[in-house]
Amino acid sequence: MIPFIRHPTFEDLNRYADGDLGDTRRARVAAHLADCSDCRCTVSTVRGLGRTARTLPVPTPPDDALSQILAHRDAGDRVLLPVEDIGAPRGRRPIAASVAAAAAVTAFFLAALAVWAPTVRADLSRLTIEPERPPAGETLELSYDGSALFPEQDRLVVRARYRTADGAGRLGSVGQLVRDDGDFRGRIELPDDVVYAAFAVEDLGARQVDSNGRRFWEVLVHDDGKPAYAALRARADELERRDLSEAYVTIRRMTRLYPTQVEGWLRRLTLEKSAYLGGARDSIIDLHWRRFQRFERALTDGPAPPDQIAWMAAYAEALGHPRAREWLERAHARASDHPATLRLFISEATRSRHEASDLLFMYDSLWVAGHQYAWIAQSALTLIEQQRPEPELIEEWVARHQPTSSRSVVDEGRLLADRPETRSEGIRLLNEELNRLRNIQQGDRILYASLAEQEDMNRPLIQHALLGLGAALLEEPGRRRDALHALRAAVAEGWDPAALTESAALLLAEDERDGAAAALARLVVQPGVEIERPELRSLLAESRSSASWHRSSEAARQEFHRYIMSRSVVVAVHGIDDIRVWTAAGQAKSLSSLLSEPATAIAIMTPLALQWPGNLADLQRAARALRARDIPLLALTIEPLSPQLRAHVRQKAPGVELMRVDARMERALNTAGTPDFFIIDDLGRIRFEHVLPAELAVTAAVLRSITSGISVAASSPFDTGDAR
Amino acid sequence: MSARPRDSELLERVGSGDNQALSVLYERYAEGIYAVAYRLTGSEEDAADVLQDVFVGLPEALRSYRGAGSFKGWLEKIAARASLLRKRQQKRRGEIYGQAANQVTAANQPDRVVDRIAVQNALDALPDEQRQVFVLKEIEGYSHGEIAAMLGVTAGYSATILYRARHTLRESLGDPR
Repeated sequence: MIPFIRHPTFEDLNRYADGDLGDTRRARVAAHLADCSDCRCTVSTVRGLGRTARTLPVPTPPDDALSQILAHRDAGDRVLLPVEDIGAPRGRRPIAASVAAAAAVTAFFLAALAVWAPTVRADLSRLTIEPERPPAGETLELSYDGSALFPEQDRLVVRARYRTADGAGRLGSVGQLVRDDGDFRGRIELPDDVVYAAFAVEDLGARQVDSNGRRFWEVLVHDDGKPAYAALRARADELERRDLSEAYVTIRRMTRLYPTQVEGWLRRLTLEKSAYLGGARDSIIDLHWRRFQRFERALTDGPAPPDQIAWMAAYAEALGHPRAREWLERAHARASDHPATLRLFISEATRSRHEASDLLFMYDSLWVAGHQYAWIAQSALTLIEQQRPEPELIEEWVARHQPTSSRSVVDEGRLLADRPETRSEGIRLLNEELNRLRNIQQGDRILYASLAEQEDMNRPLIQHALLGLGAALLEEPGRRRDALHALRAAVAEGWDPAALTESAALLLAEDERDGAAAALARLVVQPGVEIERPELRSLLAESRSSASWHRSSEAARQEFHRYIMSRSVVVAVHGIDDIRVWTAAGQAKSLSSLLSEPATAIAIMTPLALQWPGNLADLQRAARALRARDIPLLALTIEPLSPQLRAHVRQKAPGVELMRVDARMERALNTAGTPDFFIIDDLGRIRFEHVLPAELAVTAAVLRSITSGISVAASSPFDTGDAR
Repeated sequence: MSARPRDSELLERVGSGDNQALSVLYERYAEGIYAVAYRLTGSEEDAADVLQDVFVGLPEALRSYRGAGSFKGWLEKIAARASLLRKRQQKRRGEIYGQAANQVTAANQPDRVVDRIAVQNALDALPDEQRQVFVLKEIEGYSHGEIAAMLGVTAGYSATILYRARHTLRESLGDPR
């Protein structure tokens, strides 16, 4: 018997404790244990952990749990339970889940506040950039073939977003193109500090923008024949906002071309952890675990650059590695100023439940020390909003730092306007920002947006700013008229249920019943929104009996439907390498930004599925669960529905709004490739159906085959494209 | 004294919508379901939601019960899946969790209780995946194959995660090796 020269690995000791070793190996470990008290202690501890864990106390269920369950059953609520494992080997992957899960699955199709714009088809244009792989500071020769899109223009504007090595960005016009024998030509000097550029082309009045289908035309600075690391990082930063799958491709390139950079591997892990489910995940995590250990060996053998130490601390934290704390301590000691260290530091402070004032003081100290990152500003604002630290600290923070976005300014303005001592400052900020949002300057327009689109995107912020202004002015003597004007304008500006509710309540308190009723009309047309405040419910009941209510609520309904359908998106998921999000206009959108925006969940339903009572109850429950997250639920049908069926759905699932897929959505689905449809079939099972080839027409044919034999009206109001 | 109805009789009645039969099943199995859900989610609130979902959904879910294995085991596995699904959805939505609210302290406790308190705290502090595998294997008694099927991973990966969980627990409990 050859004994272990060194101790058995921890894994072997675990397997020994579990009785999982083969005979030979078990014997070797046993022989070692006979002479090694340390390893015996390890085995004993491993076994003891399980024993102790099994004796840990567990609280008892709530006393009213059974009565709640029975009440739900009596109300017709149903839940689809996960009766099968994820690893079920069938060709289809049924996802029977609780309704909360169904809601999340439904939310795979989300309608977000994207923008409807005249679609500028990318295949009609091309921007050629020479050289394709420039060094820093190079002069670029541009040639644009977009005559079909800009037939009348002689001159076009090139706008760009530039990114620098330190992560900063700037946006604006960078040059012009002049028509020259059919094509447009121009020249641009790339600034020395720029490592990445994304270009778009537009006409002189910014009425029409060619953003290459929102993919832009890109340039990465090259170094030694390959893209500079900073350029790849800048591209990843850029794409994480709008095209996660491309961002992932870039990050993989970072790790391939620069395998010794820890940061690249951390970014890769972050995406892969959240995107991979199922069998591929184990090898992904193992890969990172091994990579981390290789870095450890390489970086512990000699002095390591502070940058790498900071990223290692973050990598260890993300992996849940046992030595994460050690690396964090090293990062504190050697790289305390590094953004990665700062993030870990603040995460730890937040987890340790520091007082809000302490945390804000921490953010402020970092800001003053020059670490003026957008995420610090946003974290501070969230903290202020949610936890209300001491007022003096709020004022110092607001006075000292620059807001990073319009949203920040509006939020800060409202926070200040909320308090008597700072109200006038808040009103001033809100007024300034309102003026800026309404009068879009060149520099305030995002790269792919025309002036009209930017105006449309600003509307939710304008609504919030108007609401904040109205509320604040009500508190100011002699400003009541201005306040009511602002509140009425807020109602007309947008659809946010919270803003509409608050506006309605304020207007009603001022006895402006018509204005409050107008807000209520815009609330009740939104699926899943319920009026909860007693005073508003009374007003609603009273309004519904009035002659004008039907007209105003019908107008609101039509407007809302147009608004939602112009903003619907399709999420096409083919795997981690291919996650695409498209607006109804066929424009790409960032998945990460989508999930943080107000959304509407969409379920695609067949008529047969809609007739099954369990499904309607599930949808109704999903609608309620989603409403708790401010997400309304729409059920989209590809097939037309009979009026009887539609009435049935309205009766059984009043919280769910039915809509027909319109031509724009159909185009978007076609453009998106192979979408994942959320369909409830006739047995109540929720299925993901991959339809190949990627054509909605094929999907519709599949759905028709499921619903054959169901008679539907030859035509219905839905078919005419009316909102109802 | 009325005879205690067998599970099979109750299941048939529950499948037909009999709430009284459902209540009897609840009295028999709710504590076990709740315990599974609590250990996997680390939250009383989440555990209560899972418990509710399981029993509200049970009558329809019974269509899938083939009678193989014990009903209790089948039901607890559903609860385990529902708990894992819930955590996954929460993570996907980016919800942030603090430590389990019931962090206990060791002041003035006998040593054995201190051990348990320390283990509870260490368990609560484990990353989600490690805690889930540890709970499923060490407390609920599933095999790595069963855990793998529930999580959608390989059995080998499940074993690796278990070792990591034990490693993390040992370090948290002060055993440096």
